[in-house]
Amino acid sequence: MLRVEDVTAGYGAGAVLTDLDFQVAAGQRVAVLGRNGVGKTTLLRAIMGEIRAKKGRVLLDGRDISDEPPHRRARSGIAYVPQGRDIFPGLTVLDNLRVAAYGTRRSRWQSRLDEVMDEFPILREKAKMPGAGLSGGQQQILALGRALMTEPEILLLDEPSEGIQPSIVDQIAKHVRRVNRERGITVVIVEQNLEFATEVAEHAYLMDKGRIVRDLPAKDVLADRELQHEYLGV
Amino acid sequence: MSNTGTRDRVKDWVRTAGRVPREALYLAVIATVVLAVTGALPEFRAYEWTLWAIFGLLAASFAFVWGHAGIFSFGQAAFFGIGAYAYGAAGINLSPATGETLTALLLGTLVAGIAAAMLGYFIFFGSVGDVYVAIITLAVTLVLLTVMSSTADPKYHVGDALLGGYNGMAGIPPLMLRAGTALDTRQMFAFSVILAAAVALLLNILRRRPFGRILAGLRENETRTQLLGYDVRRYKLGAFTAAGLVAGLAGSLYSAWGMFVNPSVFTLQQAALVAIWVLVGGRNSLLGAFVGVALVQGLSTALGGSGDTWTPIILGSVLILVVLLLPDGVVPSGLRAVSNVAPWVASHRLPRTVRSRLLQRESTELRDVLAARSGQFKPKRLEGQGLVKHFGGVKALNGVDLRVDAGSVRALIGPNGAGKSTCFNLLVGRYAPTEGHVRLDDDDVTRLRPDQRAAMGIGIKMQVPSYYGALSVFENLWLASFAALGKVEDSNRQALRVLRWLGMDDRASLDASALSHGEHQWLEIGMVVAGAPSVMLLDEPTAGMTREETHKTVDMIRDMSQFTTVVVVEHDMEFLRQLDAPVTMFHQGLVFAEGSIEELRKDERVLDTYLGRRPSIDAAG
Repeated sequence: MLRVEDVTAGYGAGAVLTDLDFQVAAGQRVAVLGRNGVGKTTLLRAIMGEIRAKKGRVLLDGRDISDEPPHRRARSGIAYVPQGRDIFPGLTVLDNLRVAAYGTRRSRWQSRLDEVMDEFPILREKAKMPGAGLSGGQQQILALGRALMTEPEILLLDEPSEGIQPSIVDQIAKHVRRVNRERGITVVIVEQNLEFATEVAEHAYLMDKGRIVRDLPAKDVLADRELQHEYLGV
Repeated sequence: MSNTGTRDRVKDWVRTAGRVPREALYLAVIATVVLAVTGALPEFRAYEWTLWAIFGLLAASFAFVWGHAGIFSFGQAAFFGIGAYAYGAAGINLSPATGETLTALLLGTLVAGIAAAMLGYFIFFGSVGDVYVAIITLAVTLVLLTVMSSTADPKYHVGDALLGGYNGMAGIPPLMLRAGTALDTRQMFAFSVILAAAVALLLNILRRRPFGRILAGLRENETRTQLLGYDVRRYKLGAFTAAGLVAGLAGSLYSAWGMFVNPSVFTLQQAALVAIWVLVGGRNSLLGAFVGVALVQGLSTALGGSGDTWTPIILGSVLILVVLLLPDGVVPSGLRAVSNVAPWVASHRLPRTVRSRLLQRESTELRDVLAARSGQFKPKRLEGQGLVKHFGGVKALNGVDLRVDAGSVRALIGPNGAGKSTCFNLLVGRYAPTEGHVRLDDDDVTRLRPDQRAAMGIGIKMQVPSYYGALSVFENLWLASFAALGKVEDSNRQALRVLRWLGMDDRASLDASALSHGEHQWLEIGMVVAGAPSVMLLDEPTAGMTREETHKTVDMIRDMSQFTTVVVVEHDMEFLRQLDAPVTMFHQGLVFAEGSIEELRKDERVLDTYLGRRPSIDAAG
């Protein structure tokens, strides 16, 4: 279980998140929705430890990880796929996956690699290609596969649908749901694409001005036009 | 000299030319002391300290080019050696006829300067990356080592001067100021120290002049400096050449001091030693250059007796300790310690009242800020016609017409990847469009670089923070003003005016890096305003701001819009509602909707695109 407790965080002296409370039960799939600039990415970065909370705590299964650097949090089971995917463009697909494995137990490397390749056959097909040679959608799948190499408990995804063609977006939604179902991985997804988000997540949190302002089943957001105008539109 | 961090830098600036600089006083003091002690100095000390002064000058040239201008040049040893050989060759050939060697000293300096200018031209006008500057300069030094080492054959000579290969050039005349009389050891000491001090102080004055300020700017943020309209290649070449001249002078003095020079001046050890002196003394401190030499050379002399093998190990350990414990170097760390205990020693703070009087003389009105650039001050129309931009196979922009009338405000919005940033970058000149034109009034600026557009009156604030963190707020604004106005006095006043307009008077002498997030954005808006542009392009001016700061920014943009054209990319809806300016919304590389923010809010198609809904595209088309 992941809990963000009363967190205030931001860049330099400014605060992007103010007294934010947020909680995800193990095995849940949730979406964080909101306009540009309300602090969605900052929330993920605060969970990952890329920025430190100025106030408040981040708890993983009840343990306070607020003071841990990102690599420790990664080893504790949080995997983060940032916006723009950040794959290693000069490494082959295979090496992109191998790099992620180095942080984990050696005996499991090969079996994990096989699992990920089975889950995403396209990665096996392109194993020898440099990361930069993949299409946007394939890069997103690679980033997802790389995150799974670390056997995470929690997967943080920042706008996985951005700049990707619709057919692959659907495919990614299916993959995310399946790893959640089959491996019990908790999923937190930040999205602009409402349909994609509700396809992936069961539950939605609406953010505005650095806080969580609403908390409701994802389907309800899809149905409520008023709510969309208020928090997601222009 | 040295670290100006604690001083009131506004005073340095506003103090106008024509007064005697404080360096003159320093030089007088140094000269008096040197002349007073020289007689009492044992000859071997005078001999040793002369060398330190010469090495100090070499180190100062490196502190200037690296610490101040940010160019890591291993070539200082090369220019030192070139100066040394040139002095030798000129001295051997000319002194029998003229009886003096001042000409040779001058020639040695000049030859090194010319060598630096030639090498620098290829490096900087070839736009070589920073790392490669270090590699190329080191390579040149080592090539010189090889070449000079293989000139043992008597056929390699310059007039009467044999280059001598490994054995070096012998028989170099000592320094002779008047015909036939060479300086003795003590005279040479006094001459070298005073000359080295004079040159170092000159470099210090240079750092305060516009040339030096622009160098500091390009060290801190080269892109920004370019966007302000400075040709950074020329300034880098200037700094590199100046440092080459100084190193050449040091080299000339060196061969006059030793009356001998061999290729060891071009070795890796010598090149590295220059960097070590400066690291120990303080990289941006000219005094530190001399202190670094005295410490390192003093220590290695002291260790010399105990056996050669240990010297490098102990010296290396000292260097590692200094870098770990005093990363800024001995002198800046020392000054900081002193100013903590006794603030009046290291800082010359201007009384607050005087400073505010200086400020209060300036207007707070934006009208006056923008009027500073006479002739050009006039809002202009900015137009994009049929803009298309493809990145490889990705069609980021598919034919956009955008017309922002003179003196109006326009906001560009759109979901991620809609093309608004691409459009902005085409207007700015960061990318060239695949098709289409950008016009400023009736001028076609499509093919102009950002700095050329800046010179035509387009002011740009980029999305990523782009200010000079280690320079004061005033200096940031001054560099922006000077780029547009070109006169020191005008730029001083302009920077003060912008400071007043921003309401950041009390921040003037603070390092820009110490400002809050919102203040950074204002500083950058101020830097745009200081250039008195006809069109301002602002990319996300309120990113990371608090509500109150956003309010103030809206007021500033309203104020600006009375005098100039403003285009702003922003997705903070609160900001857009307050600004209440016409909005152009992008979607899939096209203009999707135009209108007031309220109109767009009610538009269901707009909501759909923001939610990434696919059917909306059909609805739009």
